[in-house]
Amino acid sequence: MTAGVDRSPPGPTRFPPAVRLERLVHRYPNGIEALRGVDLEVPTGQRLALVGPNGAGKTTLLLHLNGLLKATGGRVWICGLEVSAGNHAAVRRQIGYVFQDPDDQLFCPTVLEDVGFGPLHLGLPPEAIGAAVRQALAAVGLPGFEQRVPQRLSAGEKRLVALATVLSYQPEILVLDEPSAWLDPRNRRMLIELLGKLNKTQIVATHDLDLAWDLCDRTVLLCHGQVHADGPTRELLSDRKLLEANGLELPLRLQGVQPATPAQMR
Amino acid sequence: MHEKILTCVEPPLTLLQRLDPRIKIVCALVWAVSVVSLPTRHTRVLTAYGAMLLILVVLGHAEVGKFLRRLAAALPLILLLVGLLPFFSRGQVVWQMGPLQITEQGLESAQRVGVRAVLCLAMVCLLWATTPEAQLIAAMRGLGLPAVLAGAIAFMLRYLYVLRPELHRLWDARAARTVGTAAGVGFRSAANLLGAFFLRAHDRALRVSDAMAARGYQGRSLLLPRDRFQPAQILVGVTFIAVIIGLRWLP
Amino acid sequence: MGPALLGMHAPDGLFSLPINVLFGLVVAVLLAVACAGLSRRPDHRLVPMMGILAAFVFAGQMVNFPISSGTTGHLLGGTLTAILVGPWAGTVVMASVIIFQALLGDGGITVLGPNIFNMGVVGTCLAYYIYRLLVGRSLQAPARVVAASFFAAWVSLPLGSVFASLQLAVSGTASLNRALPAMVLTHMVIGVGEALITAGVVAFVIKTRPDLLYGQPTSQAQPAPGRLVVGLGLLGSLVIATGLSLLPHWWDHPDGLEFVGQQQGFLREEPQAAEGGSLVTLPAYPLGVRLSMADGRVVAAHCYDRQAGPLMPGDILRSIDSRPISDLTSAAAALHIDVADGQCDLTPGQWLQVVVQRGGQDIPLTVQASPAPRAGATAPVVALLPDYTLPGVSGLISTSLAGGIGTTVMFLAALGAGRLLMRPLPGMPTDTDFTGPAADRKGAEECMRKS
Repeated sequence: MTAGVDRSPPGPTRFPPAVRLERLVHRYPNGIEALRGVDLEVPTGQRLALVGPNGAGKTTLLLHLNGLLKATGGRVWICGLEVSAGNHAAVRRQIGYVFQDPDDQLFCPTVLEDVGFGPLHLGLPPEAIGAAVRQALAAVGLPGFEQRVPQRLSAGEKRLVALATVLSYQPEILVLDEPSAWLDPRNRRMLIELLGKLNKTQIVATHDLDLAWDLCDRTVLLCHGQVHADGPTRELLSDRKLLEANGLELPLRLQGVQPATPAQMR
Repeated sequence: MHEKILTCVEPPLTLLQRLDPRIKIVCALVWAVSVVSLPTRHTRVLTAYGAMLLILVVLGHAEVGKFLRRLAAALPLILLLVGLLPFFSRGQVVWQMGPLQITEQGLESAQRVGVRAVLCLAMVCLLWATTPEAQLIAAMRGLGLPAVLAGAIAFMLRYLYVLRPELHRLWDARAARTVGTAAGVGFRSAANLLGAFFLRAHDRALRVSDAMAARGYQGRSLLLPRDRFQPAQILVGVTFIAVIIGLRWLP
Repeated sequence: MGPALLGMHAPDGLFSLPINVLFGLVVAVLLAVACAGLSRRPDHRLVPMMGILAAFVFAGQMVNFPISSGTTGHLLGGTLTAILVGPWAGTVVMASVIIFQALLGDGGITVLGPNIFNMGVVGTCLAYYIYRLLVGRSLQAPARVVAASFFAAWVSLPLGSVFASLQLAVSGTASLNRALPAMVLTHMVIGVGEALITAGVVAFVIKTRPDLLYGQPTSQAQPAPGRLVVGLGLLGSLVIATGLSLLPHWWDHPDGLEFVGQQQGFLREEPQAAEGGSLVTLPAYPLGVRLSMADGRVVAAHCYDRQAGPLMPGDILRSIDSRPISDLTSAAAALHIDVADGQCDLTPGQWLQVVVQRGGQDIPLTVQASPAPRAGATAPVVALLPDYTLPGVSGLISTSLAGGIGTTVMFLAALGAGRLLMRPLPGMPTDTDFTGPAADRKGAEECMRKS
């Protein structure tokens, strides 16, 4: 079941979509095709969930968005700018990529340097960095964490600081790879609420279908490097046959298991 | 072994902790060079140096525990070395058993090396105990260490905390799967494990470099602006160096 | 703590300041060149890769590696690092590890120059070139790559210890005659562990990700014929062994008597007189001792060389050639030593009848006169090593043999290890637990195959 991509009504000015993929193909050096022609348009402000079984190509797709992987075929546009070797800096300024393992992303000796790394290398003036760091840490609910060291943070704190490292340079688009992995239920709930409050385009690759249900308006189902389904989250994720045909299951909440509410968890 | 020792210093309290790490490193180097270049007969100077060290340890009183632990960890090796040295010089024989002989020159050499090694080790331990590692590396970079080298050390430090638990997990998992070998893990198994550990480390390095590239890093590391030297701290450093050098002229 | 032996992670004070400065300068230049070369093109992978590999080496050094039942070894890692990322990057990685360890107190800070040189340059760069020499132009033959890594890793430790021994000797901390054989021998033994671990890891990497070995050539060069490699390897072994054996002297017996005097030329002592003209000390080179007065008697105070003669410190000189000795002047006369300039007229090798009092008893000794040192007859190199005795012929032969045999044995062992490690163990599953959570570039391949 595929649904057409939402198109905003034509008006005097058409903003380009935040992300546009045209026939994206990626072939590894050993010949394996991870992406076999993906077409996708993500309008500004949308929250998109990218779901699919292992090996579907979710991470591979995400890595093309900021040019970390070079497409074998097809094209990628970010905010109307085509991603190519020459404009990586401009593209990466618009994308905040949150990696699956926070330890990959927290590579500086202190939280201050980590959160300030993006602004520093993406062109913010040095005087403005301190304020940017403070704001980002406050936004994720960890004010005053500047002098902490990454190795002594808890898993939940690491995840939030990782988010802060990309919020500090205020990109247009957030890309998150398995954001709820490693998190206990309370931290997971906090993360979902936080992401819900952020007013940015979000693309979330996840196995956590309940997170997709709570957070994202639209879901794209990827399998074997191709888009097998694309539509409103609640519709797509209630379709048991579709999910099972693609190596997935219904979200837990639809399997008769109610996730805990915040009141129950306190 | 090192996880307990590589700790973060909480907000600075004592004079030594507040001192600019660059000044501390320079002072430590001058100290070490002075100690190593003193002729042996200047016992009084060496004693004076020892006294200075004690005073410094007292000044950094908040970190005595850390200082002592680090000292205790590194001392046995030095003592072992010093114990072996008397056998390795030729000269006037003092004791002999079979082919082994201890000579006067050997004893003198051992004493010389021992005293200097301990004095320098103590200074390094003090430096370590009063400065967070991140600051030490940044200070070395500021003093002229090449960027690649300083960066490598900084990353090594950060990812040691990540890699060591990974290695332990791999090791324990392997040991749990292996039955029958006395050591628990055979040689081939251990070699494969180390190889697997290398591949993991390599993959992680690729991911980390991706994360850095995603935030704008292109290969040239930019630094947050460094604090300038404060005149009071420079004065402290210069005084210390002057005292060290001045003490060499003790009769 | 295998690597942390004499000279490897040397503490401060072990080497003298001139040695520290010399090697410090060499290392500084090499590191500057390496860093400049590595960062010539902006590469966002360089620094994280160097750092994380340094963490790998550091963590790997702490592993108690089982070699056989009861024996464990430790990895130093220089050769392994160079094989994986190349000589220059390897040097930077090892230097990072060593500098950090110095901050921890494991190794001194003034001796960083010699330490980094011994472990990070000799043990990394030089070992890499030996490895490269043995492997040949391409890395296509896995067994040979493993064998080469085995041998290069083994030989890197004794080579490093040779430099360490020289540094010790020139610093005056130890005698080359004593330090060199001890260090080379122990490191030849420790090197076996290093070789095994290095070869084991290289074998694993070559089976799983051969593209990760440094220096894959772009051309499809054919490997050289086997006989050439064996021949080159043996030749290399003999060269190394001979080089090693020119220096160490395993015993203190100089069967060439003429060498002893030559070395001691610049140590030559003069007779010392007190005010009033009476002698206080007399260097009696023919007897191999320094004579001085104690309690009104002539006493042998210091032995110039243990092997020079049967006299021992503390012996009271009673008579020489039946002439009673009452003071140093008479001793000088009996030995035909000119008090003014210390020249001795005795023919070297001439026999002297000496009576000494030792432990309350008079003991007659027959002493062969040792040659007097000739002032100024020293080569500049020997001047740096005050108490060095060149090996005699038998010493040379024996050390050459030992070094040559040891090196050849290790070379053959390397070839054997190459074959053995490349053979898969029966029943052992292939290792796929190294693909981490991130489905990397190659990881997707496995996922695709599974689905």
